[in-house]
Amino acid sequence: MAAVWELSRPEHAGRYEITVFQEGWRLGGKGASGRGPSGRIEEHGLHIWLGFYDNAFRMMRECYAELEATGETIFGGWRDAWATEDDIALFSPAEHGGWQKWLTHMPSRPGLPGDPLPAHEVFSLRYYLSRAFDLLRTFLLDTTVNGQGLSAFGAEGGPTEPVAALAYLARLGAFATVASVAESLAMLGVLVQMTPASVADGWAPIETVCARLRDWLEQHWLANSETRYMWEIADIALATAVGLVRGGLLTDPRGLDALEDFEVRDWLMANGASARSVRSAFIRGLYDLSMGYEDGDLNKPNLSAGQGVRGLLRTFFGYRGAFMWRMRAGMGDVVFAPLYEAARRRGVQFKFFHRLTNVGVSSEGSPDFDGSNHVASLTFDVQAQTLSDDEYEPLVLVAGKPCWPSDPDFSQLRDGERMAAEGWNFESHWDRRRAEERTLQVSRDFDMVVLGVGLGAIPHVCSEIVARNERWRRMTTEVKTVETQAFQVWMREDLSTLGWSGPAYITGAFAKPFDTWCDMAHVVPDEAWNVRPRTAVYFCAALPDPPTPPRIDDIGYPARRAETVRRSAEAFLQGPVRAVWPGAFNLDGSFRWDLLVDPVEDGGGGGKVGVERFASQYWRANVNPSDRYVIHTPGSYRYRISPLDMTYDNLTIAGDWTDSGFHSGCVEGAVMSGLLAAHAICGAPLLEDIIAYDHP
Amino acid sequence: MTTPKSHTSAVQAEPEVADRVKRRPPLRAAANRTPEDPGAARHTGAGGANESVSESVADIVRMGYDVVAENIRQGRTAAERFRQGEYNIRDVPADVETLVKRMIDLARDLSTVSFDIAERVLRETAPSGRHSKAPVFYPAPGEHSHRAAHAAQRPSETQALMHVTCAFSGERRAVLRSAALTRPTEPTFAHEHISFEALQSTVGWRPITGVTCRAHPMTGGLQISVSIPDDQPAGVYSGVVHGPHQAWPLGVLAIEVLP
Repeated sequence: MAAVWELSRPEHAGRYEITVFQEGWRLGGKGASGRGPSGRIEEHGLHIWLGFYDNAFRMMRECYAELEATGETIFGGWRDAWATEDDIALFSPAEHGGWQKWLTHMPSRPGLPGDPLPAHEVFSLRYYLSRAFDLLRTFLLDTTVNGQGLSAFGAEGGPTEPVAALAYLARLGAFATVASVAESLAMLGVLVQMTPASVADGWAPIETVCARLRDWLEQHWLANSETRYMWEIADIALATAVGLVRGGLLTDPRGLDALEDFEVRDWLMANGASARSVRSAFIRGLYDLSMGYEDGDLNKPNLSAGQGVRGLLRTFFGYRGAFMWRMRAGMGDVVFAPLYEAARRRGVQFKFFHRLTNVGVSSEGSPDFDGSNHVASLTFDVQAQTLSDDEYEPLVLVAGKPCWPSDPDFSQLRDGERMAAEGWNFESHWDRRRAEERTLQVSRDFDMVVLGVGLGAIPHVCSEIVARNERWRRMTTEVKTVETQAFQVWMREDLSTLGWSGPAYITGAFAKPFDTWCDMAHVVPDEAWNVRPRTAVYFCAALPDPPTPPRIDDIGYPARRAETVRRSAEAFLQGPVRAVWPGAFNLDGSFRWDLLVDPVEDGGGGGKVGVERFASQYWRANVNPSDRYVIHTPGSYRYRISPLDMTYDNLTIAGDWTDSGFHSGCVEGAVMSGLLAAHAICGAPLLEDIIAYDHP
Repeated sequence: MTTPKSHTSAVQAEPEVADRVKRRPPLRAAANRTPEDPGAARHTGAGGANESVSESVADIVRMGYDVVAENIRQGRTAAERFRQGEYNIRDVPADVETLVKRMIDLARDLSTVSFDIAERVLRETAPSGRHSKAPVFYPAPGEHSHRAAHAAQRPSETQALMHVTCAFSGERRAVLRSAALTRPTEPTFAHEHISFEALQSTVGWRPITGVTCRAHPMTGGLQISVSIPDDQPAGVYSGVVHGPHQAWPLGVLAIEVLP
């Protein structure tokens, strides 16, 4: 959709006639959401936008502004659609069982995501190194000795009682030296930023200093369980600083790509991080958020150091406004509905129920080869046709807002009643039922192709290319993807009542399998309940691959996998959740299933009881090849193909699985890729205008 | 998504073959990961920029030195009074003295590094052929001066060289004599694509062919492994090292098999 957005810009004055061919009834791919019973939001997973998603935010801010400018006010402004989130909670296994919760508040920073970058803001590793020193300085000044922050001892005067005075002076001595270290770090930060590249080879002493600082922090933080996680973060920051200096990365033309063959934990340990730190909640959270487990196997964490460090640096030092941004409704409602409406107003056509089945290519040896490799045909299964051959109207109004439904509107479809009765699943890779087949020919029906399917679908829809082109084949085997799982519960009591303390944190590094979850109470008012639940909580995680991949005719595979997720979710609610929501359990230790809000009851019917009540909630296994989540394993970067690649002269690709400049399964990577695809076709936007494409 | 031929007036698209529209190659095909040089960027302004940078760095150093010196002095005083028994150590946390001492050492190290870099910034940014107008620094510890001078004398050519280590396998003892290898020009080169010609002896002994390499886990440089047959004659062996997809070699690897 980012490519569509760029190519349909009014600045192009209608040069491009654009048609979007979409499988099923809704846009969004892995980011699609739908509205289920009681207008509840049903997502593929848990979607949070990070504060450095500049390209994605820029596109959405433009979209909302354009809709408002045309008089379309139903969506409101973009600030109505996203809310800031500054708090994170991470979990570590406690030494005596259970879980220890670390709470972090990330302060807001100037600007908003998507703002033009200030002229002085340059993505450079020297800039990050300087920020790392700033971070360490902050940590030092926040250090507590015997329960009091050192910075508290800078005030004039002191206690007069002898013992207290003694202690005061002792701390003053410590404070004086801590302050001097902090000042030195501040100076170092400024100097590192100002230093020309030619000076960078003389920074070896920084390694020594970092080692000393690590020793000191270890002695004074590690023993204190309250500050241990701070030590772990500082330890990782120090290891990263040492690694950047020691590896010559500050001047290496490859930037962080120089680390792409290393696993991030190996690289951190090689540069001095402790085994404790690389097992910390902080690092586990990084893997959990990026689903960085090969084959979805939680025993095989695997993430490249280059992208891992790039992601960390951008996440912690590149955000603007807030550290994270929550969408106020489903991702489909907040992102894809406005994009759809705005694109339609620009003249873009949408063909729903078109499943791509083959990209036909002409290359050397084929009869229609004209001297250069190109896409000659596109074949689709037309899954359904509208009653009067009009364009399918995909949106419904829920709580006054245009939304995507969780199921297609069969009443608009020819034979829709029969399809509904027979349970046609237009989004299942294994349900191949169709109304007809349609083939488009190059020059007659199209000129250019932007291929926007997920990576997992490439072997299925581009079998000709994969068979002939070694690079494409290696891309499908070396760039890894995983299945994911998610479930959502709606409850009649809020988390505070159930024993959770603090704000509605986004939590990571929790118990497996559902290590990442979030209190989503803020979206419930946008749903359409008669009796509104007090909260909704979303859980998600990687899903281990089965021992053997499903056959193409295994139509029951998605349902079986969904059943696996359901069983896991029920067990999870009865198990690890006890540690964080003690109030959700009866005195006999059983989960209070009656907490769950059943939409049938909301509609006046009778609900289920006991564990069966979970059937009224929402869960899913994202197992379609196109829904598989891309991960970034060591060495895989060289097998990614760029949207700028010229192997096929009328084809470009778009998705978070391409060589987009930011190799992570996320909105920002997908949008950057879409911008590159647009550039490949029309030369706009300029590559320099894609924020952070040229990031080290 | 398609763009029918009725709209072939696209900026980049042009009908080179009858009816079919082709993309034009982009101006570049990959991200430019080469780090920006914000320091250099700041120095490209109008005349006088170098002087202002020098002065501002000098100001920072001066100010920082004052703060550091004062704080270290206070810390030393406090630590010294503990040592001299002016305070009853049982009444204060046992680790305070150690803490203070370690912090003083750390502060000194940090100061040295800061001043090292500051001095080098000034040297690099000073206008060619002229002395810097920046005020002279406060005297620094002797070790600091020596280190800074030593660092400044490094030849700049070495910046393009890879860090190389070499390990030998087999019964024979051997040493690395020379391995000045430049980085391959391809920014995303794979270490396994670096190739080694057989190491030849000048006197015609049987060449050594078992040379492999992998990425050094800490430096990102090369970790070379040479397998030496047990009956390999003693002597100096050398061979050219090639990078992937480039015409000129990275350099020469030379080893000596010891008697």
